[in-house]
Amino acid sequence: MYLATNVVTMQTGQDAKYQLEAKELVIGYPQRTICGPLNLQLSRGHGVGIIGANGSGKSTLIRTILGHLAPIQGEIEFLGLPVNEDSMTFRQEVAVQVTDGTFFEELTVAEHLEIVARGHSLPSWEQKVQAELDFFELQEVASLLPGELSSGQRRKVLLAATLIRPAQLVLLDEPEQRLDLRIRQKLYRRLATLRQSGTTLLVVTHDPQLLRHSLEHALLLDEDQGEMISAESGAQWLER
Amino acid sequence: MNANDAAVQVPEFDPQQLILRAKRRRNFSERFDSFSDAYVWVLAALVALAYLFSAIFGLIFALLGQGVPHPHMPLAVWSLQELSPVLLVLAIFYLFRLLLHLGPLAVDSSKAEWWLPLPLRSNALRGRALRQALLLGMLASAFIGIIWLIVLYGLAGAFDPLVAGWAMVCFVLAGIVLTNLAVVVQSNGKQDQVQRWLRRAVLVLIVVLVVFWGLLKAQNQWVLGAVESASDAILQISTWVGGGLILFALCIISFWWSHLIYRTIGARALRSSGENQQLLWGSLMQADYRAATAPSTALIGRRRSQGRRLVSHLPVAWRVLVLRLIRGARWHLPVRYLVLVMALTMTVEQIANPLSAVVFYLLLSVLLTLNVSAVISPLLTQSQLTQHLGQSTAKLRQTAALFAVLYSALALTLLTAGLGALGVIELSNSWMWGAAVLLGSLGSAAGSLGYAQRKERDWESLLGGATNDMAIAAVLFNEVSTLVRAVATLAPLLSLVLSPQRIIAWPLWLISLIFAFRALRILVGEFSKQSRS
Repeated sequence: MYLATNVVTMQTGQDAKYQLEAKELVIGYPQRTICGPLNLQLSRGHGVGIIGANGSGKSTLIRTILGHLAPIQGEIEFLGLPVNEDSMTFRQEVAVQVTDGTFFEELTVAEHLEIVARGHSLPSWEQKVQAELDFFELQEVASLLPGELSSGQRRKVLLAATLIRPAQLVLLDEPEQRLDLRIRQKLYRRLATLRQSGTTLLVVTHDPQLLRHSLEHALLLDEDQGEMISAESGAQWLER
Repeated sequence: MNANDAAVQVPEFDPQQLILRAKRRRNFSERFDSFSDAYVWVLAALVALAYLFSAIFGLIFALLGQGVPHPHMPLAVWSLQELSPVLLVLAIFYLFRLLLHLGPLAVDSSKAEWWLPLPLRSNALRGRALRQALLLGMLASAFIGIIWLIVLYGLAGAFDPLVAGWAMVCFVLAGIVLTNLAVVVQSNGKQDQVQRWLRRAVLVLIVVLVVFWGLLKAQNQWVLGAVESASDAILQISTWVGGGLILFALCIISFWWSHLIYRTIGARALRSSGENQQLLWGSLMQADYRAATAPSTALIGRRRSQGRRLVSHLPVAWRVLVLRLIRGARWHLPVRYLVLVMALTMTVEQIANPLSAVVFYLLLSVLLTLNVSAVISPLLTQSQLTQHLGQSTAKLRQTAALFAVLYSALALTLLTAGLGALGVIELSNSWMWGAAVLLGSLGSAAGSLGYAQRKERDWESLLGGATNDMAIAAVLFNEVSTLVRAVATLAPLLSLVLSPQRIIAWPLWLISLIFAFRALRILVGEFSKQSRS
């Protein structure tokens, strides 16, 4: 497969140190290249949506950044060091929601949030758990087991677990899926606030509203290449 | 990034406490349910072991051809007892391969999702995974040991219980050693390479066997002595005590080695091993081998271009079936089985007898039912595929049935021709043999059509709804009915194997026809429709 070299750069930070940096990154599976080479540099507080047609490599890119998939070529650095999902720093600073999730069948909704909050040593974790239950309107199901939830409620639990904890970088894969419109809008406002407070967002999405309300740029993966465009252009591409 | 970790403050929270708290919260009824589930599975394992004991004894009885006249194979040099150490070596190879496939260190999906990403020291999680891996290795090795001892007991007729006890100790210790070695391999991320070496090691073992066979055939005294001593040694207590002491020393060394290194196993490896283990347990709990033996995407990917030309002129449903057979390497299993049968018959004394042939036919029938069902399953169960192919469900079912009959007929014909060429069976009445093979093929097809549509089983409701022994027996019989159907159609074939000169009684043809009727009806329906159109 021919791969055009395509440099996607976002250097808005004054200092040279990027929070997340991908150099000459080629992603895919053994014997099947999906996209690349890509160069991506994200500074603190930036919000980038990853958009593209089905199969263009959006989720593969996220999984490669997380270290779940080995890159075919190139390097990824988080805070100037190679990404290592086993490192304590990475686990403390990167919040992730990339799957439909599996749950401890014997733990309630509230206990799932407790495990994350206490695992990250959040002070007054009880209040924070309550706040997340309120935000995602999960109070009524707080004492239910995962098997008793609808798919939308399970998705809300996963998002609550991702957002309850502090993080410098938040990676989300289609967070809008299975959420009703009202919760989506609340989520988008919250993501925008989160970004303004200095958290970097990298979000795979098909929703133009998410791009417009919460993010600044869009990385369009198209025909094996990546192109950085404004969030508005990205939203228009999704609406085309 | 690990360099930064030294400066990171790590909380002392232990998620296991939260999980235990939730488990303790269960009421008496839930705890009793959990206990009774475990109790039922242990009981089922014991019952299965008892049946296995009988089956192995029956198998050995048949392979030795007790009391049945049979031809002498000029190339046969081994006795079954002399081959038992080879079985032991193969068992160790395959146990090690299984452990490498399963991790052996793994975390289940919920822990991988909620615990593994937390910024906590993961010693507790990994320590628990190591203990579970060691338990898995010990149990798997002990299970292999029990099977092997049953085989040995069946061959030797009797042996000292003290020998059996020491042998079991050796198997348990071997399980620990193999698990520790697998942990070391896993922590270095070398599973694929070691799997390749082990595959080559099996080939080397086969070459060694061939060389030994040649030397035995040439009456080489050293090899004759070595084979005899090895065969005798496995019945001596001193062999097992010595082996136990060596294994104990290896256990300590390997445990020390794996303990040094197991914390370095990465999250990705733990997660993917957890997925493999979940798949295997799911298959075992469902008593359905298909998921665990499904070819990997990587394996299919390596064969992505195979068969393209071969299927270019075939109808669309046939293309699907042939490509699944070729690219999924599903034809390897029956071919390997046939090669093994021929090799055993030619080189092992006493195996070339009609009773062994009966066993070979029965095993081939079961194997074909499972093998073919894996190939045809999508055509019968995935309604979306039916729609995409633009063919009716009935038409696809007919294609699947015809494929199953032809595939089974080919395998049964090859076995019959092979055994006939070796003189194990008499192929005097070719019309009878042809008809019997055809009926056997129809039976395998009927069985595989049934098995391919097997759905997920809810054992709790199935067995819970059975209120007495008869009802439980009915549920269990229903589970094996597809295999019974395939095996029952072999009745005329088995009758020909055992008494080639006698005329086959008509009830045997009738029974065979009844069980083959389902496949026959589908095929006849197809031909009659084609002739009308």
